[in-house]
Amino acid sequence: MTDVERRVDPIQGEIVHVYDGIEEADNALPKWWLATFYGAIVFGVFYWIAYHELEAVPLPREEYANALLGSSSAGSSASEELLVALRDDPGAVAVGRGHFETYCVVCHGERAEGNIGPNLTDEYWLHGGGPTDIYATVYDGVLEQGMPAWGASLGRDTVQPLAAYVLSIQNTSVPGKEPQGEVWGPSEPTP
Amino acid sequence: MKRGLPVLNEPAGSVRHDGTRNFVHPADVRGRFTRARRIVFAVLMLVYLALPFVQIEGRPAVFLDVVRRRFYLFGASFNAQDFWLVLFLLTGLALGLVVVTTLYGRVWCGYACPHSVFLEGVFRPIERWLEGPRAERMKRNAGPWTWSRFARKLVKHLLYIAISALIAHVFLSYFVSLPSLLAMVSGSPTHHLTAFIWMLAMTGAMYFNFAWFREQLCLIVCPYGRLQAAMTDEQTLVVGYDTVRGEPRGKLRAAEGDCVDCGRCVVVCPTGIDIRNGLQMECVGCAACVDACDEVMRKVGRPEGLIRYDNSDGLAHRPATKQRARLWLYGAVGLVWLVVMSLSFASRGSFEAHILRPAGGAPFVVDGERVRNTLRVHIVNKDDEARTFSLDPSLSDVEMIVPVSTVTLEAGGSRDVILIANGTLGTGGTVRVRVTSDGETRVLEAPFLTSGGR
Repeated sequence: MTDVERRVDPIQGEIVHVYDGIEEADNALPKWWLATFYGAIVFGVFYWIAYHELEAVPLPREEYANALLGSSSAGSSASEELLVALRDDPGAVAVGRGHFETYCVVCHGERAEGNIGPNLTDEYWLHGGGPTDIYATVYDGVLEQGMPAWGASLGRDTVQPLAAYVLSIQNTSVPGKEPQGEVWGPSEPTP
Repeated sequence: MKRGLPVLNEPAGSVRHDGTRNFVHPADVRGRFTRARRIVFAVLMLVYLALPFVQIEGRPAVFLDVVRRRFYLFGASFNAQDFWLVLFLLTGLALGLVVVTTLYGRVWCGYACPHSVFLEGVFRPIERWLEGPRAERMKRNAGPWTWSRFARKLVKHLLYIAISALIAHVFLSYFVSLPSLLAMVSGSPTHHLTAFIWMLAMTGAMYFNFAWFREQLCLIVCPYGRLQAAMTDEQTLVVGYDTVRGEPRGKLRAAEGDCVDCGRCVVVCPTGIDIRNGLQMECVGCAACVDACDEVMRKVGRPEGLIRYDNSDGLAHRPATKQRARLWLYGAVGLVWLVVMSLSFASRGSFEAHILRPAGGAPFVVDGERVRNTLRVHIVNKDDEARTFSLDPSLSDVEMIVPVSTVTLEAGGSRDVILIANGTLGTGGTVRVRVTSDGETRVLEAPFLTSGGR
């Protein structure tokens, strides 16, 4: 640092420090900048109390765990009316058939006649044959019997037409795997 | 001079020495650069607003579908797997900015930065329209709160909020696409709370920025101005004051220099600086002072260009610097960029194939001894024509069930194939799937898992 006579620059204000010819003034920080600075300190106090002392708000790790829980359950992401409407919509059923051929045929067979998994065209159902039952079985899976939970990886936009396709081939009785489960409901023919 | 021009009556600069804000009220300015800027602003705003409506091959021209991780840019579509290509986009943009700055200074700030485009193209004109020119505005602001002042401010801020909301919606439409944006706008906010909160936050930020923050963004937040000193050299085109011609400044006919010290260049400056102090960090290269000074020079009958677009050598009346090593360096860096990018694109392959485990597809113990794994092979055809892919699991050391061994995908198409692997408890093994298409082969491997199931 060079000792220089303190001078006041008309633009920069009072010059307090000179190094290698570079002059430095000591002006106040902009007031709005200081407001963000003190605001961040105040926010930090509230954050610390809310997240770490009161534990009133979930931390990112818990939030992630909660999100995983939320997405691994079919919940109310498809109503019976919606699924029946999709079953009666040939477009949706065609889309669902495409998904079925991609994800399901390896276990349930190309004509849903059953292979590793059960026959989906007979009147016997292991986990219920109603629209929301089928949707929940596809979405949440039956892990203890080898059925993956497709909802987490495919999402409801894929699972909805998929369930609609399965509903559309219900009771078409394709010869295949022996019946499993119980006869589901009044075995009315699908319209 | 028939009409008195507004002159400097307060210290320049938008932040005073004690840190308080000195709100800049730029005076009106006319001239060729102001006109050119207005045309560019109008064109750019039209582009921003029209882009969501433009469709290319049935897809929005710009649609960054973050939710589905698919990005559509002017007809090309990219998957999340292609995200690393963004490296070349960003480094290319950065290099382009450095080169343009070295050659032409801060033309980006003055003409094309969205902040300048909306501030100078929309928000300041509204203020000028409702509150009058600089002198009237400053006089009213210094005076008492009258009904006229209150009404002008109220209408101005309501318009500001409405336009901020419009900009926020346009911005949002790039991420959700126009049809779903319109559906959201006509629906209840509770059905799309996240998007609604984003829209509110964006609107608030825009309003704060354009109504109050303004040049503080360029001066204190944006890093570009700070890098200016490192990027420019003696031959860079900048807005500058010809000290040799202008000094000594003074009243007309009283001084020898051409500068009549009218202060017009200072009052028109949107960041409140005096360009006669030389090139400054605060200068956003808008050239308002060039137009202002030219107008004054015409009136006093002196040649235009006392303040002008020129390089530092020209402004100082010294011979041009010939050596510009940095341009050669940028050229070399650009060449490396081009070569690495070309090699990367060439080695990208014409398809993607990955083996994954579906979520919830944990290993499943069938009967206490046999274990089953569910696997998912994801194939993406990145070619421009349909391709057939064959799947061969014979290299695996566990028994495999493959429902389809050939898959035909259209250009850009993708699909999953679900595979089942059967093994025995405790032995483990490796699943290997060979994916072949047109002589291009990819072998996918995944360990066979025997624990973790129920």
